[in-house]
Amino acid sequence: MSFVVLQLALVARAYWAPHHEFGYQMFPEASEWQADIVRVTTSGERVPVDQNWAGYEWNELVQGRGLGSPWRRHHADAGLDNQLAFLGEALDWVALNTPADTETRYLEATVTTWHNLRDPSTTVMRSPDRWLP
Amino acid sequence: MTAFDQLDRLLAQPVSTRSRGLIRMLVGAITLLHLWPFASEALSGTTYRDRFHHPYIAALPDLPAVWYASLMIIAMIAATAMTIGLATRVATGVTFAIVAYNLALSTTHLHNNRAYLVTVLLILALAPCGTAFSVDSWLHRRRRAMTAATAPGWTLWLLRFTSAITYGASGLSKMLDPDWFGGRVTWGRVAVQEAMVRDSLLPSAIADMLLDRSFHTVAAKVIVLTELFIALGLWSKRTRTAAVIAAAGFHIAIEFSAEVQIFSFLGLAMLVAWADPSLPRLAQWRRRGPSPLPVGEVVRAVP
Repeated sequence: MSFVVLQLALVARAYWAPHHEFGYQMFPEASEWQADIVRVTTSGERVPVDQNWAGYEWNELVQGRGLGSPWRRHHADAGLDNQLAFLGEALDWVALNTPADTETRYLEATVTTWHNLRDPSTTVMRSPDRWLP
Repeated sequence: MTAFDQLDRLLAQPVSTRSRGLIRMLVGAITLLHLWPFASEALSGTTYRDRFHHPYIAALPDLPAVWYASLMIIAMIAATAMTIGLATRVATGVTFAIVAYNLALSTTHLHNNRAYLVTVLLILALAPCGTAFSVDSWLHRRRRAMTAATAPGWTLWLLRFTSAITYGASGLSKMLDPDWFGGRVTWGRVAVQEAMVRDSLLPSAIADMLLDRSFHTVAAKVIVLTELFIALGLWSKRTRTAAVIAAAGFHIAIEFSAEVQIFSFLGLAMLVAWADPSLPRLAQWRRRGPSPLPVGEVVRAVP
């Protein structure tokens, strides 16, 4: 019985969890998104991540879950909440895992979303500040 | 007798282990399909740690790449042993443990179909699913040893519940979302691919209908109610056949229209849980009566 209760609890929890794990909410939205992601350098320059930097390439660092080539308009894999949560986590991960990059202070994404193909709305997300030597 | 006692008796009732054996075989093969991309990538020297990942359970230790690749190989061997039913209990337990560990390493690994798979693997690891359709049972027969042909049905009920909840949760989430129930989501998915729909082999009248917003107002409700019918219809003997047919059609349609990894195969495999537990000996049993069954095998119809 506890197994059944646990499964039901996980299904209920998925309504509030950003990634909806164990919620079995299949094909939840027709939403789309697109993000202009830039590296903000110590000199204040804003460099789009579709240009490789310090030996890094966005599409090599971030694969799967619909996060490749974010500068193009994409279907939101498993809904906008899920997609934006993954994008935020990806920004943080890239900021923390690119040690050869000695000029980027943080990454910033200007995200345009179309919730179930309604009019667009825009959100700005950014990674934490990077520690630079 | 209280309702709880009745439920307890129902779950403890011994039923044939054949359907659980068949599910084990199918799910073992599906697990191999699931593991292959992870294993092949790990063998080529790339793991989840080389790119963006986000721990689902942060306390889990990350393994060095060589260890991770070795773990994937062990999982592939265990899933093969599980499929053929060799050292079934151990093989199924090891398969579950490694698949669960791998999914918990990163939320990026956790899709609905994989959550479904790991739940089914957990139940199979607890179930007596090695006494039918297995090398283990063949070896037992060769040694003229007795194998338990029946076992308490509670793990079969858990498999049934897990099968039903995927349809129920999916249907409910769509019904609670006005955009989904009103047809905006299905229409949106088709509308953004209008050029592809028009260029497809579909007759133009069908393409026009699929691109018509008002068609989706009805179609979405049919989809949602079909999912809910499957989730509920599986529980009644009267409606079970129709629900199984609807579910099979549903999975086949999804497999051809969307990328859902192993979901269609797993969904179809799990429908076996709704057959008579003695499947596939049922036809023979019905024709000749219960005598062809091995001594000790009690076949009970599960309500």
